[in-house]
Amino acid sequence: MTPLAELLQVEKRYGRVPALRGVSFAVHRGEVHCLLGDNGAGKSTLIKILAGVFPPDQGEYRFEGRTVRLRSPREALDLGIATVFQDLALLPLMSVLRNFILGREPVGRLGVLDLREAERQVRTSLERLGIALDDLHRPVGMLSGGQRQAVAIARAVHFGAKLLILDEPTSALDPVLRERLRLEVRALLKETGVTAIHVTHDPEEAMLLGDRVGVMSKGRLLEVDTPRRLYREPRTLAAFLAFGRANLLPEDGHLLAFRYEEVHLGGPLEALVLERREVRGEVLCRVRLPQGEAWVRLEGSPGERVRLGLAQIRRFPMEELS
Amino acid sequence: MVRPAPIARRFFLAPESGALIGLAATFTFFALVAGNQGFLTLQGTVNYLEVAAQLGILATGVALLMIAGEFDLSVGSVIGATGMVFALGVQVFGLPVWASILLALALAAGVGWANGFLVLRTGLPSFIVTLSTLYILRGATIAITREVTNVTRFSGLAEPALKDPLAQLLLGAPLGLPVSVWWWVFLTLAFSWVLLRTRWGNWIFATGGDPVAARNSGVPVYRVKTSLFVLTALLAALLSLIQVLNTGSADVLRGQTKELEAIAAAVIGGCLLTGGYGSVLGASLGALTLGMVQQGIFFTGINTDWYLTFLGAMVLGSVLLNQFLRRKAWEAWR
Repeated sequence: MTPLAELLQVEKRYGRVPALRGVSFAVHRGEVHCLLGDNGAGKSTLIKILAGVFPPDQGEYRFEGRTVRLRSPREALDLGIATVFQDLALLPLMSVLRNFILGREPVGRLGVLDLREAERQVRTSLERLGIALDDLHRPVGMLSGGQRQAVAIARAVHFGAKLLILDEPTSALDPVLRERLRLEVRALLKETGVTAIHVTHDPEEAMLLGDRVGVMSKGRLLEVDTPRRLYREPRTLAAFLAFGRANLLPEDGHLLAFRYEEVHLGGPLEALVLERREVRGEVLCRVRLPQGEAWVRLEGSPGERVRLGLAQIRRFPMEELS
Repeated sequence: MVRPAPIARRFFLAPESGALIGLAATFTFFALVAGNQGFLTLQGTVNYLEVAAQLGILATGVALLMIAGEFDLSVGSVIGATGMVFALGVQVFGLPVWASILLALALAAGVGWANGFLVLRTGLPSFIVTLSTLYILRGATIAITREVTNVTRFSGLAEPALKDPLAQLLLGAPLGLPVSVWWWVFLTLAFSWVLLRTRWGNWIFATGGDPVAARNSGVPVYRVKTSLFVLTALLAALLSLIQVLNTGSADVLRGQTKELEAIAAAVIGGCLLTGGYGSVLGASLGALTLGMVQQGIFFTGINTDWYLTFLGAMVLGSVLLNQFLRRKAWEAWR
């Protein structure tokens, strides 16, 4: 099946600084695709190309199987590519109704707004997604962060977005709200069945939301897979490190890599417990192994000698550490 | 289920609510203090309406531009320049009145377009760009006029206009009200309608609220802003032509500081300096309040030199009132 949107060997520089180096990327119909990476990894540049903010320096952009060269977000919008930018999603001083119809106003002759039709459209669209808003004339600035996101997504979907790009939609929120909003966003996306690219620097968010996750670092897309496989069998060290707390120990010119929780009692490795800590109800021990010191999620007391086994043996080349 | 907001909440949320309260207070004050000195008579009313109308014609455009997030400090100079172009056209180059009117309007449109082009191309604040235009245009008006004619003032311009078809739209006092008042009312209604009831209006709000977000939603931000710079300059020319045709004279210095009074009216009317919020009706109410103050002071017998002091106090007071009302509205909604 042809991907909905596809980038082939795309390069982009800002002056002399390379932002994307030979990135090939595809998003398939109906999936929620998360792009994970730190600041400067290239994820913003990638979505800006997809959203039509600027074209790539080199490489090809295909949408629905056809090569496109977008020069403005408007052109992208006309193709059905809508972007919800992190804090620029909506205009705070304008009402929900006016925000919703902005750029796609239902008009009669002479550009006169058909407000009744607009209200009908907005109401239908919000109700379909189960978003409860009592007053459409309320300025968007008065809505909660969650409501704002919901309105922005509902709006994009309503105007026939085939591809919805969400640029760190939860990064500006406090942790409690963020947690709730993530689940709401996922439900909303699945409800609409829209294809979405969700950009985040938070691994937990990527795992929670993405059908697939692409890990980016230093202008490259390192690997793309389901969250489960990326967590269990990452092919690169960067992807491995992106998902949670881990130990790296030198062994035979390689790096032995395992997560805190990938350790069990009763195995071939001899270990001495050095320290015991409790973090949010979880017991973590610092242990000395033949290869070096590591943190593991196990019960133990300092001075105790235990035998450990690794649930998963992973080795990465030393060079990947740089 | 969508339920409409209570009327009181709507009132506080409307940008012009502060201006309405201010207008009522101003009227009450002068009615009490100067009620039997002529303020409440028909002639007194017509007097302040005419002053308000001249400011109001400018303020409607200035308000739209401010809502779109930009300023125009050059409107005063456009008033002087277009008046002179009209006068030169008629008296020096012997053009018909209608042709001179069109020439003045064309100059205004050109200045407006240049303002817009410079602001959008250079990315400089419109405050700076139009401040430059203010001086460049005023200087050029004085210099060129003196160079060509050796004078800085023309009179006798009313006579040739009397039989001109186009000038009829800008002359006299139909039904006893000066033509400027009719224009003002018409422009207020028309632009309020455009702002609130058309797609263009929605784009104006969005452009001022956040140009990047607006552009990302498909709003042609450049076109919206440029058109409003042109509109503001055209309104300055309209005012200038009404003045010249009805007083019969043109002066290179006419219109000085009008730009600031128009901004004051828009601010009193609830427009935010930061854009994205405001009302044409509010700006007109602001102009009406200022007109009332200017004429009211005259009726009270207070030295009219105090007008500017009143103006300043009104601006400050109104902005504080508007801010207070907006905060109340937001609190009530939460």
